[in-house]
Amino acid sequence: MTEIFEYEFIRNAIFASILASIACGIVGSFIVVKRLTFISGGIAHTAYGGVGLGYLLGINPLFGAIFFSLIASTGISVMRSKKNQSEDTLIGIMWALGMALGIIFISLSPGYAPDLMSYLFGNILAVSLLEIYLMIILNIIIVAVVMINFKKLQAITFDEEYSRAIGINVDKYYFILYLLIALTVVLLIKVVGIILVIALLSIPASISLNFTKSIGRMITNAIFIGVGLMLLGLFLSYYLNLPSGSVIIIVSSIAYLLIYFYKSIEKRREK
Amino acid sequence: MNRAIEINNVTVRIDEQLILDQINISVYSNEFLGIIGPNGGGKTTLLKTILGLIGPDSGFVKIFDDEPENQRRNIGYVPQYNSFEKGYPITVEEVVKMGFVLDKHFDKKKLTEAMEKVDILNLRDKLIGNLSGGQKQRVLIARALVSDPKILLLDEPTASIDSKTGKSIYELLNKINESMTIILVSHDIGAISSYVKKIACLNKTMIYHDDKEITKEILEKTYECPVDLIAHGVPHRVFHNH
Ligand SMILES: Nc1ncnc2c1ncn2[C@@H]1O[C@H](COP(=O)(O)OP(=O)(O)OP(=O)(O)O)[C@@H](O)[C@H]1O
Ligand SMILES: [Mg+2]
Repeated sequence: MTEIFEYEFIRNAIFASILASIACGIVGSFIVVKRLTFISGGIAHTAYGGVGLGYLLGINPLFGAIFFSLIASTGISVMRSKKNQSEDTLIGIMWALGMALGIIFISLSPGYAPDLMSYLFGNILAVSLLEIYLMIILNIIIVAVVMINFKKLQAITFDEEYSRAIGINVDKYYFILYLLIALTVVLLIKVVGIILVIALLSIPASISLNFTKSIGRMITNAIFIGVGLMLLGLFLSYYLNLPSGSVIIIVSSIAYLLIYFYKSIEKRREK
Repeated sequence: MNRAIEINNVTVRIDEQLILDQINISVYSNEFLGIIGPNGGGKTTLLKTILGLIGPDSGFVKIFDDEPENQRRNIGYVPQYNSFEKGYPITVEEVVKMGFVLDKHFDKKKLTEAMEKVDILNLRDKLIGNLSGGQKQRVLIARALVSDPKILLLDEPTASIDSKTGKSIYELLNKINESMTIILVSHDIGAISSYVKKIACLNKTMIYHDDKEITKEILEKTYECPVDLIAHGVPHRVFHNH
């Protein structure tokens, strides 16, 4: 059992799991309490356009993804502050457009894109040291921004109208939250891939929500739940020789459903 | 007397529609103004204009001779509907604490006092989502009170509250009115008439008197319907006898 820790790629995978879980626990908690899953999906899929652009320009596709997801979150923030009635439709369009652009950019790129699948479905075993450093930097940014703005982020996600009334710049803090979602998405791409990002953003935080009375607690619990689920998925995928991203999501989904059923049985018993 | 709120010729349109038409009223320190009017009459819109959340198309609002945006710290606000996320993981105490969100420090004594005033101390560790409608309303009143505002705006705070709690809230408002200017929107004319010092009727335009005397004609004009229904059960001292 212990011999697998000797491989560098396994050690990187464990680091990546922990780093991803920190960002997911923090940002995912705000996503879950404010039901921003669809918006997060939009930002994630738009990022695929950036991955394609990265291939086309011959730079690390993650940098392209950062660029595109930041543009997407800026666009959504502007729509929000203008109270655009068709926000939902526009996010849907952005979602599809990002994917379409990505595919076109990749088809225009010279040669063959060997690890393309890993951006869609993730390959935590292929995370490089450079990417670990990138994840550490993104995590430091996320943790610092949330710690500095915690009270205001809590206020705007709990009660937007009241926050506005007492003079909090609600649009500004939502913009900050969307930028954090964009950074988290980028951080997760290598781990579970664009298509599965939503699950990691929502499952650990949703499980955690069942057992907490404060968003701070929700975040710390979600981080531990995330680490547990990801490591379990990682080892299962290693021993079963199955794609890591998919196994992590399946493990997480099963955990969520088990807790969900446990909770509803418990509730029925209380009545 | 010190002027707390000045509303000068304020006209508000939303989507081209005239909602408030040349409203003029001044509210002085420690006054207690009750606003009544039909649904859609513009009461909530007026409160939001006072808060500076809606900019008037013409005219202006001043709070202590200053722009409303600069004075928000001096205004406590209890919105008409519970606008918060019902499933949010947050306790009653933390919700009340949110009244301090713009302050560097929070005052534990004031926090306890505010919860005591509206009688929610025993609920402090409960999740906000698990409270009844009236209990939630009391939490929101505590949140508005906690930072010691100079002006308190309440938009139908007793709509979902039983009559005993309603009465205690009005009595509480009466007491804090000694140190706070209050504007209260309510459909409960009976309660308004026995507690407030000045009544205004709002239906696009505003009619008010400097005392509590409100004539049947004024009510009929604002509500645009016979007031017998509305005036039912109202202490007669509010009305002139004709
Ligand atoms: N955001 C908005 N968009 C469009 N119209 C609005 C908006 N807000 C208010 N209105 C319109 O302004 C008018 C006044 O609304 P307001 O909420 O101020 O009434 P109110 O007196 O508070 O009514 P109620 O007693 O039902 O609370 C209504 O006709 C309403 O349709
Ligand atoms: Mg209203």
